[in-house]
Amino acid sequence: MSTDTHALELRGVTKFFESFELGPIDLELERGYVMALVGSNGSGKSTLFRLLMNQYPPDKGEVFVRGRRYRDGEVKIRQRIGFVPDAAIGHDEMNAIQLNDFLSHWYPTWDRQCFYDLLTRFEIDPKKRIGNLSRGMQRRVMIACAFAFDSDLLLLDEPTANLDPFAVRAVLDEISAYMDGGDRAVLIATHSMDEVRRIADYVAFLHRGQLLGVFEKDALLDSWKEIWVERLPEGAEELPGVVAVEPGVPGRLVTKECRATEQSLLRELVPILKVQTLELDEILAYLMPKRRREGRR
Amino acid sequence: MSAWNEALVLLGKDMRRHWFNWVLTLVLFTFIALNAGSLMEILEGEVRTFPFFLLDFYFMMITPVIGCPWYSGKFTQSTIQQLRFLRSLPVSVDGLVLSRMLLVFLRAVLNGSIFYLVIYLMSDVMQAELGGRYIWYVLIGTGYTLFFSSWYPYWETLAHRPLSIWLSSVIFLAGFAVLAMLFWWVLDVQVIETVIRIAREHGPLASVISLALGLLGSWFWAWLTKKRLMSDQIY
Repeated sequence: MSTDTHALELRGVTKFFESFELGPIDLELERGYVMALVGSNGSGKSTLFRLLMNQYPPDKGEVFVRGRRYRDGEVKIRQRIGFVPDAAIGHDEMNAIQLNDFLSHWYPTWDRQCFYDLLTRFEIDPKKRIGNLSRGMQRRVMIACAFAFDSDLLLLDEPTANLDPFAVRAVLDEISAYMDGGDRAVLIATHSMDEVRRIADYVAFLHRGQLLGVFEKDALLDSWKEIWVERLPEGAEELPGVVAVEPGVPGRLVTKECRATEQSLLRELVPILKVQTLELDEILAYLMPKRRREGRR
Repeated sequence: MSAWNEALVLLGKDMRRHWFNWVLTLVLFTFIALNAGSLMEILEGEVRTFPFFLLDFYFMMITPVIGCPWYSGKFTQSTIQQLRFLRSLPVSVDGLVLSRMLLVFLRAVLNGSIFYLVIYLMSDVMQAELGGRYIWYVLIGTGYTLFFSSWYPYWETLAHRPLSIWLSSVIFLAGFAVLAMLFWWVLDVQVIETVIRIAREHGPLASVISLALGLLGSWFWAWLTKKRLMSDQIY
């Protein structure tokens, strides 16, 4: 049995398509935490969200939401999940006022005033047809929907795509305020390091349907760095933590154990010019070959 | 919320979303009924010509789609998107399927009322042969409509794949062509004439049987649609 301390738990979840396979994925997200899901386009993020919403039933494995399986009550589980899918579809004929009315039928804790407040905050004209709004504005409507009722879990599939920086900030503020509720959890797909920095506790990397790993954010950002040095020492590739070396003057090292690499460099009397945090996509890129090497052993 | 309550809310949404399609379909069936009513005149003749077979074929083709919307690429595209949206909400699959079935039933009643009323008013044969028993003819036809129109909710779950739509539509049409030819050339049964005779001689019983078969067919298509919605096949 799954424990309901987990907001979300996946056990060996696998989905087969003609030209794509997602999983097997084992993943746990505890209550009170935000997990960022990072992966390139086509890595399976949206497929994973659909599995989590039971739009795709898994071919193998099981999904638990707060310890409950979808087959034990799909409607009740969905009533406690705020979901922002990758595209806003299916309600383009309505305006936000009509959408407010329609969605209030399905969520027992739907808060009409909260929805209107969010519309105001996101600068959405409630009388304008959703189909006539820009993609960014449609995205804002979807986000307002996800926050307009009392939920235990938010599943956000790239919620800030097509949003301007002001709207992104507003969304991140909403997520932070949501987490102040304590017992909740968020899984958010993103490409933005800034978003991860601001709100995530954990980072999960997905590549070609495979989960490359789940990392504690602070540890990830502290350990994965690029180090610029005046000159590269002999055997730089063999230094502890080093995953890539770029020769030149100055030289560049990429490490997954920054402190250990720095100490080794100091022992070799190599002057360190600069230490920088890596972007998420770079970390993902370095995780991929690592995985391939391990796979060949 | 019960599946019935869910279905009624969704039905209201669909009617608001596609009100123009509802009106368009009513107009279309009025036009078809005018056409069919004028074709009925050949029933008065003694000589059985090819158009007589065409009349049978016409009815066998039109009656099954009385409960269906007017199709267009844009319409089906928006329908499948709506289904995907609804599958992301806390709406039960039972409620969703029931709403699509109610949609078919309601359209069948509205479109069918116009269709059969116009035919009756236009056709001297129907008035002379059946009179008040025309109601049995309508109910027999309605059972047939329900049996096949309830195919529509299943069909719309195929709507994200153009090949599936065209293939299933062609199979649907070809099936009725084969059925009409089977009646005519193998079983030597003239469909319209036979239904008129059954309505006249065994109207109430035939109506009950036809409606029961129609509901049975609806249940079958609802079951198939539910299976499909619960899988990943609408994505």
